Amino acid sequence: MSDDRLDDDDPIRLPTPADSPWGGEDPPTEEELRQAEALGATMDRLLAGEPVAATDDAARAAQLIRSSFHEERLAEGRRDELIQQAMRQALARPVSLPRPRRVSVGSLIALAASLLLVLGAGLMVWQAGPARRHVAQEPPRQMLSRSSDGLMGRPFTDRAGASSRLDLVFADRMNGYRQVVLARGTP
Amino acid sequence: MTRLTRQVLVLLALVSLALSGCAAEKECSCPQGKLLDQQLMLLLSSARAYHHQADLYLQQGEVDRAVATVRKILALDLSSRWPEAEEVRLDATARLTKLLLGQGKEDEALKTAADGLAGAPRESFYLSNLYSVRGEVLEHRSKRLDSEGQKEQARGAAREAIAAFEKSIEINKRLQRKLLDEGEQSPPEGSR
Repeated sequence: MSDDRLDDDDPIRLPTPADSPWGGEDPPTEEELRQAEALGATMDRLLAGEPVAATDDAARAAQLIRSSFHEERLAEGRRDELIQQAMRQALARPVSLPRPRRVSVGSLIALAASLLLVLGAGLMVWQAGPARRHVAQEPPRQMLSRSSDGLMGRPFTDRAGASSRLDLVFADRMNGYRQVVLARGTP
Repeated sequence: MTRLTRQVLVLLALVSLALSGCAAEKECSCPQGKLLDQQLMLLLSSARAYHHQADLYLQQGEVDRAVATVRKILALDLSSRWPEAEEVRLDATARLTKLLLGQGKEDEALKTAADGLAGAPRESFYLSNLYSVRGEVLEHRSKRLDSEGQKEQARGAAREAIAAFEKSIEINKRLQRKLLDEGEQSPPEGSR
Protein backbone atom coordinates (compact mmCIF):
# COMPACT_ATOMS: atom_id res chain seq x y z
CA MET A 1 0.00 0.00 0.00
CA SER A 2 1.33 3.40 -0.87
CA ASP A 3 1.28 6.39 1.54
CA ASP A 4 0.15 9.52 -0.22
CA ARG A 5 0.11 11.75 2.91
CA LEU A 6 2.62 14.56 2.98
CA ASP A 7 4.67 15.03 5.96
CA ASP A 8 4.94 18.48 7.60
CA ASP A 9 8.57 18.20 7.43
CA ASP A 10 8.46 17.45 3.81
CA PRO A 11 11.03 19.73 2.25
CA ILE A 12 9.15 19.92 -1.02
CA ARG A 13 5.96 21.51 0.56
CA LEU A 14 5.04 24.78 -1.21
CA PRO A 15 3.31 27.78 0.53
CA THR A 16 -0.48 28.00 -0.11
CA PRO A 17 -2.41 31.24 -0.80
CA ALA A 18 -4.03 31.05 2.64
CA ASP A 19 -0.63 31.47 4.15
CA SER A 20 -0.08 34.80 2.33
CA PRO A 21 -1.69 38.03 3.76
CA TRP A 22 -2.23 39.25 0.18
CA GLY A 23 -4.46 36.30 -0.79
CA GLY A 24 -2.31 35.08 -3.59
CA GLU A 25 -1.95 38.51 -5.14
CA ASP A 26 1.13 40.49 -5.55
CA PRO A 27 2.15 42.26 -2.39
CA PRO A 28 1.46 46.03 -2.36
CA THR A 29 4.05 48.36 -3.46
CA GLU A 30 5.59 50.89 -1.17
CA GLU A 31 3.51 53.64 -2.71
CA GLU A 32 0.28 51.70 -2.19
CA LEU A 33 1.14 51.02 1.37
CA ARG A 34 1.87 54.68 1.95
CA GLN A 35 -1.50 55.72 0.45
CA ALA A 36 -3.32 53.14 2.53
CA GLU A 37 -1.70 54.39 5.67
CA ALA A 38 -2.66 57.96 4.74
CA LEU A 39 -6.24 56.90 4.11
CA GLY A 40 -6.41 55.06 7.43
CA ALA A 41 -5.05 58.06 9.27
CA THR A 42 -7.50 60.35 7.59
CA MET A 43 -10.37 58.01 8.42
CA ASP A 44 -9.27 58.01 12.03
CA ARG A 45 -9.27 61.77 12.11
CA LEU A 46 -12.65 61.86 10.45
CA LEU A 47 -14.16 59.48 12.95
CA ALA A 48 -12.63 61.47 15.76
CA GLY A 49 -14.38 64.57 14.41
CA GLU A 50 -11.20 66.33 13.54
CA PRO A 51 -11.24 68.65 10.52
CA VAL A 52 -9.81 67.24 7.30
CA ALA A 53 -8.77 69.03 4.18
CA ALA A 54 -11.49 68.95 1.54
CA THR A 55 -9.02 68.90 -1.24
CA ASP A 56 -7.13 65.93 0.13
CA ASP A 57 -7.84 62.86 -1.97
CA ALA A 58 -7.52 60.62 1.05
CA ALA A 59 -9.94 62.75 3.00
CA ARG A 60 -12.55 62.65 0.21
CA ALA A 61 -12.15 58.93 -0.14
CA ALA A 62 -12.54 58.55 3.64
CA GLN A 63 -15.70 60.64 3.58
CA LEU A 64 -17.16 58.51 0.76
CA ILE A 65 -16.36 55.34 2.58
CA ARG A 66 -17.86 56.62 5.81
CA SER A 67 -21.01 57.84 4.07
CA SER A 68 -21.50 54.48 2.42
CA PHE A 69 -21.68 52.75 5.81
CA HIS A 70 -24.71 54.62 7.25
CA GLU A 71 -27.42 57.07 6.39
CA GLU A 72 -26.14 60.55 6.47
CA ARG A 73 -28.32 62.86 8.53
CA LEU A 74 -28.17 66.56 8.72
CA ALA A 75 -27.37 68.12 12.00
CA GLU A 76 -30.46 69.43 13.74
CA GLY A 77 -29.29 73.02 13.57
CA ARG A 78 -28.45 72.76 9.89
CA ARG A 79 -31.77 71.15 9.12
CA ASP A 80 -33.71 73.94 10.85
CA GLU A 81 -31.66 76.54 9.09
CA LEU A 82 -32.45 75.07 5.67
CA ILE A 83 -36.20 74.87 6.42
CA GLN A 84 -36.35 78.44 7.62
CA GLN A 85 -34.44 79.61 4.59
CA ALA A 86 -36.84 77.83 2.23
CA MET A 87 -39.86 79.29 4.01
CA ARG A 88 -38.43 82.76 3.89
CA GLN A 89 -37.90 82.46 0.16
CA ALA A 90 -41.41 81.12 -0.40
CA LEU A 91 -43.05 83.86 1.65
CA ALA A 92 -40.97 86.59 0.11
CA ARG A 93 -42.12 85.61 -3.37
CA PRO A 94 -45.12 87.68 -4.54
CA VAL A 95 -48.30 85.61 -4.73
CA SER A 96 -49.80 85.68 -8.23
CA LEU A 97 -53.47 84.77 -7.75
CA PRO A 98 -55.76 84.92 -10.83
CA ARG A 99 -57.48 88.29 -11.00
CA PRO A 100 -61.28 88.28 -11.15
CA ARG A 101 -62.48 88.93 -14.67
CA ARG A 102 -64.72 91.87 -15.29
CA VAL A 103 -68.21 90.77 -16.29
CA SER A 104 -69.55 92.84 -19.13
CA VAL A 105 -73.19 93.88 -19.57
CA GLY A 106 -73.35 91.94 -22.80
CA SER A 107 -72.33 88.76 -21.05
CA LEU A 108 -75.03 89.30 -18.45
CA ILE A 109 -77.64 89.83 -21.15
CA ALA A 110 -76.49 86.72 -22.97
CA LEU A 111 -76.70 84.79 -19.72
CA ALA A 112 -80.20 86.11 -19.07
CA ALA A 113 -81.29 85.18 -22.59
CA SER A 114 -79.91 81.70 -22.15
CA LEU A 115 -81.81 81.34 -18.90
CA LEU A 116 -84.97 82.52 -20.62
CA LEU A 117 -84.49 79.97 -23.36
CA VAL A 118 -84.06 77.21 -20.83
CA LEU A 119 -87.12 78.40 -18.93
CA GLY A 120 -89.09 78.63 -22.16
CA ALA A 121 -88.12 75.12 -23.15
CA GLY A 122 -89.09 73.88 -19.72
CA LEU A 123 -92.40 75.69 -19.93
CA MET A 124 -93.12 74.13 -23.30
CA VAL A 125 -92.38 70.69 -21.96
CA TRP A 126 -94.51 71.41 -18.94
CA GLN A 127 -97.37 72.61 -21.10
CA ALA A 128 -97.09 69.70 -23.48
CA GLY A 129 -97.53 67.24 -20.64
CA PRO A 130 -100.86 68.55 -19.31
CA ALA A 131 -102.10 69.07 -22.87
CA ARG A 132 -101.54 65.41 -23.67
CA ARG A 133 -103.21 64.40 -20.44
CA HIS A 134 -106.03 66.80 -21.25
CA VAL A 135 -106.65 65.13 -24.58
CA ALA A 136 -106.34 61.70 -23.08
CA GLN A 137 -108.79 62.51 -20.32
CA GLU A 138 -111.34 64.36 -22.45
CA PRO A 139 -114.68 64.17 -20.68
CA PRO A 140 -117.51 62.14 -22.16
CA ARG A 141 -119.55 63.90 -24.84
CA GLN A 142 -122.58 63.75 -22.61
CA MET A 143 -120.89 66.13 -20.15
CA LEU A 144 -120.17 68.76 -22.80
CA SER A 145 -122.22 71.64 -24.06
CA ARG A 146 -123.16 70.81 -27.65
CA SER A 147 -125.81 71.08 -30.29
CA SER A 148 -129.01 69.20 -29.58
CA ASP A 149 -129.49 68.27 -33.22
CA GLY A 150 -128.47 64.75 -32.37
CA LEU A 151 -131.03 64.66 -29.60
CA MET A 152 -133.76 65.86 -31.95
CA GLY A 153 -132.67 63.29 -34.47
CA ARG A 154 -134.73 64.75 -37.33
CA PRO A 155 -136.14 68.05 -38.55
CA PHE A 156 -139.08 69.41 -36.67
CA THR A 157 -141.81 71.90 -37.27
CA ASP A 158 -142.92 74.51 -34.84
CA ARG A 159 -146.06 72.53 -34.31
CA ALA A 160 -144.05 70.09 -32.25
CA GLY A 161 -143.81 72.77 -29.61
CA ALA A 162 -140.83 74.66 -28.30
CA SER A 163 -141.75 73.67 -24.75
CA SER A 164 -141.57 69.96 -25.37
CA ARG A 165 -138.29 70.36 -27.28
CA LEU A 166 -136.74 72.28 -24.45
CA ASP A 167 -138.05 69.74 -21.96
CA LEU A 168 -136.18 67.06 -23.82
CA VAL A 169 -132.97 69.08 -24.11
CA PHE A 170 -133.09 70.19 -20.49
CA ALA A 171 -133.58 66.66 -19.22
CA ASP A 172 -130.65 65.41 -21.27
CA ARG A 173 -128.34 68.24 -20.26
CA MET A 174 -129.34 67.97 -16.62
CA ASN A 175 -128.26 64.36 -16.74
CA GLY A 176 -124.90 65.41 -18.19
CA TYR A 177 -124.50 68.27 -15.73
CA ARG A 178 -125.15 65.89 -12.86
CA GLN A 179 -122.27 63.77 -14.12
CA VAL A 180 -120.06 66.84 -14.29
CA VAL A 181 -120.87 67.72 -10.70
CA LEU A 182 -120.32 64.19 -9.50
CA ALA A 183 -117.03 63.95 -11.36
CA ARG A 184 -115.86 67.22 -9.86
CA GLY A 185 -117.03 66.29 -6.40
CA THR A 186 -118.43 69.73 -5.69
CA PRO A 187 -121.90 71.17 -6.36
CA MET B 1 -77.48 98.86 -30.28
CA THR B 2 -74.66 96.34 -30.21
CA ARG B 3 -74.65 93.16 -32.21
CA LEU B 4 -74.93 91.08 -29.08
CA THR B 5 -77.96 93.05 -27.90
CA ARG B 6 -79.65 92.54 -31.25
CA GLN B 7 -79.00 88.82 -31.05
CA VAL B 8 -80.44 88.72 -27.55
CA LEU B 9 -83.56 90.57 -28.69
CA VAL B 10 -84.01 88.13 -31.55
CA LEU B 11 -83.68 85.24 -29.13
CA LEU B 12 -86.26 86.77 -26.82
CA ALA B 13 -88.64 87.26 -29.71
CA LEU B 14 -88.22 83.63 -30.72
CA VAL B 15 -88.91 82.50 -27.18
CA SER B 16 -92.04 84.65 -27.05
CA LEU B 17 -93.26 83.25 -30.34
CA ALA B 18 -92.63 79.71 -29.17
CA LEU B 19 -94.52 80.31 -25.95
CA SER B 20 -97.45 82.00 -27.65
CA GLY B 21 -97.58 79.21 -30.20
CA CYS B 22 -97.59 76.69 -27.42
CA ALA B 23 -100.43 78.53 -25.68
CA ALA B 24 -102.41 78.62 -28.92
CA GLU B 25 -101.82 74.94 -29.43
CA LYS B 26 -103.10 74.29 -25.95
CA GLU B 27 -106.33 76.12 -26.75
CA CYS B 28 -106.73 74.17 -29.98
CA SER B 29 -106.33 70.88 -28.16
CA CYS B 30 -109.34 71.61 -25.94
CA PRO B 31 -112.51 69.61 -26.59
CA GLN B 32 -115.07 70.96 -29.02
CA GLY B 33 -117.47 72.06 -26.31
CA LYS B 34 -117.03 73.30 -22.80
CA LEU B 35 -118.32 71.39 -19.84
CA LEU B 36 -121.93 71.84 -18.93
CA ASP B 37 -122.06 74.34 -16.13
CA GLN B 38 -124.44 75.87 -13.68
CA GLN B 39 -124.94 79.06 -15.69
CA LEU B 40 -126.09 77.18 -18.76
CA MET B 41 -128.41 74.97 -16.74
CA LEU B 42 -129.95 78.05 -15.13
CA LEU B 43 -130.52 79.55 -18.58
CA LEU B 44 -132.14 76.38 -19.88
CA SER B 45 -134.27 76.05 -16.81
CA SER B 46 -135.45 79.65 -17.05
CA ALA B 47 -136.24 79.36 -20.77
CA ARG B 48 -138.10 76.13 -20.17
CA ALA B 49 -140.18 77.74 -17.45
CA TYR B 50 -140.99 80.73 -19.66
CA HIS B 51 -142.07 78.44 -22.50
CA HIS B 52 -144.45 76.54 -20.22
CA GLN B 53 -145.71 79.81 -18.85
CA ALA B 54 -146.42 80.96 -22.41
CA ASP B 55 -148.20 77.67 -23.05
CA LEU B 56 -150.50 78.34 -20.14
CA TYR B 57 -151.16 81.92 -21.25
CA LEU B 58 -152.04 80.69 -24.73
CA GLN B 59 -154.25 78.01 -23.23
CA GLN B 60 -156.12 80.77 -21.48
CA GLY B 61 -156.21 82.92 -24.60
CA GLU B 62 -153.85 85.53 -23.26
CA VAL B 63 -151.71 85.95 -26.40
CA ASP B 64 -150.18 89.28 -25.39
CA ARG B 65 -148.93 87.86 -22.13
CA ALA B 66 -147.60 84.82 -23.99
CA VAL B 67 -145.71 87.12 -26.38
CA ALA B 68 -144.30 89.09 -23.46
CA THR B 69 -143.22 85.89 -21.79
CA VAL B 70 -141.43 84.62 -24.90
CA ARG B 71 -139.70 87.98 -25.16
CA LYS B 72 -138.34 87.34 -21.67
CA ILE B 73 -136.62 84.27 -23.04
CA LEU B 74 -134.87 86.37 -25.68
CA ALA B 75 -133.82 88.82 -22.97
CA LEU B 76 -131.81 86.09 -21.24
CA ASP B 77 -128.03 85.91 -21.74
CA LEU B 78 -128.30 83.43 -24.59
CA SER B 79 -124.64 83.58 -25.56
CA SER B 80 -123.60 81.64 -28.60
CA ARG B 81 -120.71 80.15 -26.63
CA TRP B 82 -123.25 77.49 -25.61
CA PRO B 83 -124.86 75.71 -28.57
CA GLU B 84 -127.90 74.94 -26.43
CA ALA B 85 -128.38 78.60 -25.57
CA GLU B 86 -128.13 79.53 -29.24
CA GLU B 87 -130.77 76.96 -30.05
CA VAL B 88 -133.05 78.28 -27.32
CA ARG B 89 -132.70 81.73 -28.89
CA LEU B 90 -133.62 80.41 -32.33
CA ASP B 91 -136.55 78.40 -31.03
CA ALA B 92 -137.91 81.28 -28.98
CA THR B 93 -137.50 83.58 -31.99
CA ALA B 94 -139.48 81.17 -34.14
CA ARG B 95 -142.20 80.93 -31.53
CA LEU B 96 -142.37 84.71 -31.13
CA THR B 97 -142.51 85.13 -34.89
CA LYS B 98 -145.49 82.85 -35.14
CA LEU B 99 -147.21 84.49 -32.19
CA LEU B 100 -146.75 87.88 -33.81
CA LEU B 101 -148.05 86.53 -37.06
CA GLY B 102 -151.05 85.17 -35.21
CA GLN B 103 -151.65 88.66 -33.91
CA GLY B 104 -151.57 89.98 -37.43
CA LYS B 105 -148.26 91.75 -36.88
CA GLU B 106 -146.79 90.57 -40.13
CA ASP B 107 -144.02 93.14 -40.47
CA GLU B 108 -142.90 92.72 -36.90
CA ALA B 109 -142.93 88.98 -37.36
CA LEU B 110 -140.73 89.23 -40.44
CA LYS B 111 -138.32 91.53 -38.68
CA THR B 112 -138.13 89.21 -35.70
CA ALA B 113 -137.32 86.27 -37.96
CA ALA B 114 -134.75 88.26 -39.90
CA ASP B 115 -133.01 89.36 -36.68
CA GLY B 116 -132.91 85.80 -35.45
CA LEU B 117 -131.49 84.48 -38.72
CA ALA B 118 -128.86 87.19 -38.92
CA GLY B 119 -127.13 86.19 -35.68
CA ALA B 120 -127.03 82.46 -36.24
CA PRO B 121 -123.42 81.21 -36.10
CA ARG B 122 -124.03 77.73 -37.55
CA GLU B 123 -126.62 75.44 -39.07
CA SER B 124 -129.03 73.47 -36.92
CA PHE B 125 -132.54 72.09 -36.97
CA TYR B 126 -133.52 75.18 -34.98
CA LEU B 127 -132.16 77.43 -37.70
CA SER B 128 -133.93 75.36 -40.32
CA ASN B 129 -137.14 75.74 -38.34
CA LEU B 130 -136.74 79.50 -38.18
CA TYR B 131 -136.26 79.64 -41.96
CA SER B 132 -139.39 77.58 -42.26
CA VAL B 133 -141.29 79.97 -39.98
CA ARG B 134 -140.07 82.89 -42.04
CA GLY B 135 -141.37 81.05 -45.09
CA GLU B 136 -144.74 80.67 -43.41
CA VAL B 137 -144.90 84.40 -42.66
CA LEU B 138 -144.00 85.23 -46.24
CA GLU B 139 -146.54 82.72 -47.51
CA HIS B 140 -149.14 84.42 -45.35
CA ARG B 141 -148.12 87.77 -46.75
CA SER B 142 -148.24 86.51 -50.31
CA LYS B 143 -151.76 85.22 -49.82
CA ARG B 144 -152.85 88.43 -48.21
CA LEU B 145 -151.39 90.55 -51.00
CA ASP B 146 -152.91 88.28 -53.58
CA SER B 147 -156.28 88.55 -51.94
CA GLU B 148 -155.85 92.29 -51.90
CA GLY B 149 -155.19 92.26 -55.64
CA GLN B 150 -151.53 93.13 -55.33
CA LYS B 151 -150.46 90.33 -57.62
CA GLU B 152 -146.94 91.50 -58.30
CA GLN B 153 -146.10 92.00 -54.60
CA ALA B 154 -147.77 88.70 -53.87
CA ARG B 155 -145.51 86.91 -56.36
CA GLY B 156 -142.48 88.58 -54.84
CA ALA B 157 -143.44 87.47 -51.34
CA ALA B 158 -144.12 83.99 -52.66
CA ARG B 159 -140.66 83.82 -54.22
CA GLU B 160 -139.12 84.87 -50.91
CA ALA B 161 -141.19 82.28 -49.09
CA ILE B 162 -140.08 79.57 -51.50
CA ALA B 163 -136.46 80.59 -50.98
CA ALA B 164 -136.88 80.46 -47.22
CA PHE B 165 -138.45 77.01 -47.36
CA GLU B 166 -135.74 75.89 -49.74
CA LYS B 167 -133.09 77.10 -47.33
CA SER B 168 -134.75 75.20 -44.52
CA ILE B 169 -134.84 72.01 -46.60
CA GLU B 170 -131.19 72.34 -47.56
CA ILE B 171 -130.12 72.74 -43.96
CA ASN B 172 -132.19 69.75 -42.93
CA LYS B 173 -130.66 67.60 -45.65
CA ARG B 174 -127.12 68.53 -44.65
CA LEU B 175 -127.77 67.95 -40.98
CA GLN B 176 -129.46 64.64 -41.59
CA ARG B 177 -126.56 63.50 -43.70
CA LYS B 178 -124.17 64.62 -41.00
CA LEU B 179 -126.12 62.85 -38.28
CA LEU B 180 -126.25 59.74 -40.40
CA ASP B 181 -122.48 59.80 -40.79
CA GLU B 182 -121.95 60.36 -37.09
CA GLY B 183 -124.47 57.66 -36.27
CA GLU B 184 -122.36 55.13 -38.10
CA GLN B 185 -119.48 55.93 -35.81
CA SER B 186 -121.26 56.29 -32.47
CA PRO B 187 -124.63 55.43 -30.98
CA PRO B 188 -127.28 58.11 -31.40
CA GLU B 189 -127.81 60.57 -28.63
CA GLY B 190 -130.52 59.75 -26.16
CA SER B 191 -129.94 56.02 -26.61
CA ARG B 192 -127.51 55.86 -23.70
